[in-house]
Amino acid sequence: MDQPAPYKHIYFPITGLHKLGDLLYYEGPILSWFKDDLQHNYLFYWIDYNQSSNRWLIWKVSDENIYYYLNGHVSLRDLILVEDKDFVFIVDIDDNLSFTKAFPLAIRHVRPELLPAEKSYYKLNMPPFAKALMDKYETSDNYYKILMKKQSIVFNISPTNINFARAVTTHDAGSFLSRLTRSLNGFIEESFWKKYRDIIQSGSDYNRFLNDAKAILAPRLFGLRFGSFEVLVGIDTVKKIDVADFTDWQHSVLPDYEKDVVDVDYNDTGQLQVIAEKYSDSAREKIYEPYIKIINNPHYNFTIKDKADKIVRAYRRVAKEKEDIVVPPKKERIDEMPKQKKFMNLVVEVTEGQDVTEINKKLLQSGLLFSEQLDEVHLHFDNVAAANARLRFKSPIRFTLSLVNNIYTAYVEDLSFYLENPDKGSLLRNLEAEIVALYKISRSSDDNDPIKMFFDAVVDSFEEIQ
Amino acid sequence: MEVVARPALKYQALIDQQNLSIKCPDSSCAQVDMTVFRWVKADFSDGQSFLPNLIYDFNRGKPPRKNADEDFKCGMCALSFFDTLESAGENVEAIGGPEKIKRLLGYTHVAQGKIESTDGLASSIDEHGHLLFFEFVGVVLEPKFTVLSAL
Repeated sequence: MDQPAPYKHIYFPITGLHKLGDLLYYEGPILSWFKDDLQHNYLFYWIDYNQSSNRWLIWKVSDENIYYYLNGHVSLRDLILVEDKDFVFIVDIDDNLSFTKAFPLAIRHVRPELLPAEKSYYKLNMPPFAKALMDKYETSDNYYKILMKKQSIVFNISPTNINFARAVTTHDAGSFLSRLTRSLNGFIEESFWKKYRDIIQSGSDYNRFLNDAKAILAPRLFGLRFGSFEVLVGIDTVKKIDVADFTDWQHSVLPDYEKDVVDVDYNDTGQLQVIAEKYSDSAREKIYEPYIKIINNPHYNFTIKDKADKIVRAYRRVAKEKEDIVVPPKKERIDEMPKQKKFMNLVVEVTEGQDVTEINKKLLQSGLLFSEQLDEVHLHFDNVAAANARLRFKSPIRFTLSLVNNIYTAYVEDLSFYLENPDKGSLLRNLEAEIVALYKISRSSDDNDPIKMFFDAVVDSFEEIQ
Repeated sequence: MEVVARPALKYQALIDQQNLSIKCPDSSCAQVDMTVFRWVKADFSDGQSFLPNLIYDFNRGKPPRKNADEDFKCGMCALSFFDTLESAGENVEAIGGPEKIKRLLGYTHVAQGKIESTDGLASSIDEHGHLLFFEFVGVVLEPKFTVLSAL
């Protein structure tokens, strides 16, 4: 094979092939690595045999893809099928190492049974003759990407509705990434807090270092696949900031996230209680709420895969009572509360005799002289009415109407009582009814009764209404 | 000191046929006691599960996968073992899966056995967990091995 013998009916234009070594071997070579006279890589993969020859599949491979293969990131099958070439060569080699047949073949025409299995990952130790490529690659710019990819987590969402094959909508993909980012960022903040709250004394230093750390550790995409929607998400473990033990902490973040957030059965009460004890309410809200929202999204199924494309965790929807263990019930947020009502005292210039109901926006804009926000106002009744009775006063009955936290309170100092109601109309109706009722009771009271004395002083007339 | 002569190799004639210019087996090969694993057929009764590759391929009418390297030619006269079950499994996957092994090599199962110093000479274990074994005359390996599982 080192010096292929010429053969008149073959088409094999690659020259100067020399063998670096066998990447796979079992009682003979199975996958061999060659270079041509231009130092291009060619792999020979044993695919078949007959009585006179062994048949090999030969194709050109980039340094980068060999590196990925030898590091276990891509399978041998993917290395063959990767769409960076139009064809491969099929070559028959006989007992004398002569090429007896050689022809190009479109990769789509290679019979599937001749290809290696999906999981044909290289998990073996690196052969010595690959060291030069490893050394070259690990000092290249691309090494950063490769290194990060190695340490990333593979998240996959696959649509529940397969009417559109396995295409995930951009909306779902977007919200998925957004929630995953929120969860990871929440975890980074929490982890930084636990690690450095006692180490970094100054609040401003703490915030500066936290921001630096978050900039470095911002979750990044190191791989995408669109069959379903699959992302390899990692965080940097190379760049540094000048804080004690930063490297150790930095390396621990993603594995800890994997352990405490990803590798969790969210329907196992025991596991959820451990989380509830380990993380504060606010931390759980930041970390777990968005993650559970991803799990519970009805549009897709959420799984975690290993680097060999095997599903290692398929999440089931999280029951509400389980979710409540991890995610604290939401407190009413300020922006969800009803708007606080206030009284406003306005001084507006109007025409004499003008009906106040005619005061409109235009008049307020042109004639407003003064405005003041008030917690209470002083009002009065000239008469009150209740069921079947009306009281008219010669002197008005005064009361104070206050408004606190959207609750109206009417206080009638002269009669020493107050009423509360969130609805102003109801409060005033009840207030009138209460005054009428007190008046009726007072009619049978002693003359010295202060209530009776008060009504005697202010009431002009009382009439029963039929 | 009494020098005990090493037993002759079972496939010395096959080695001789290769006309090698190197020592085969090389001097690093040694008599060892160890547990090893081998891809085999489910049933040993056809006598094809413990043969050097050159003979095994010849018996099934298949040309050997050769290269010009003399170490390689020497190795074709030995049996292949793996040092652990994991190595045996990882090599199955790396090579292309059980179906590939079955179709091209004819093996369907993995067996475990214990080789003893009186059985032959073992090479050092390579980076794939693979080693070569040159049997001594009179050694029969089949009874020493038990099939563990399908590949």
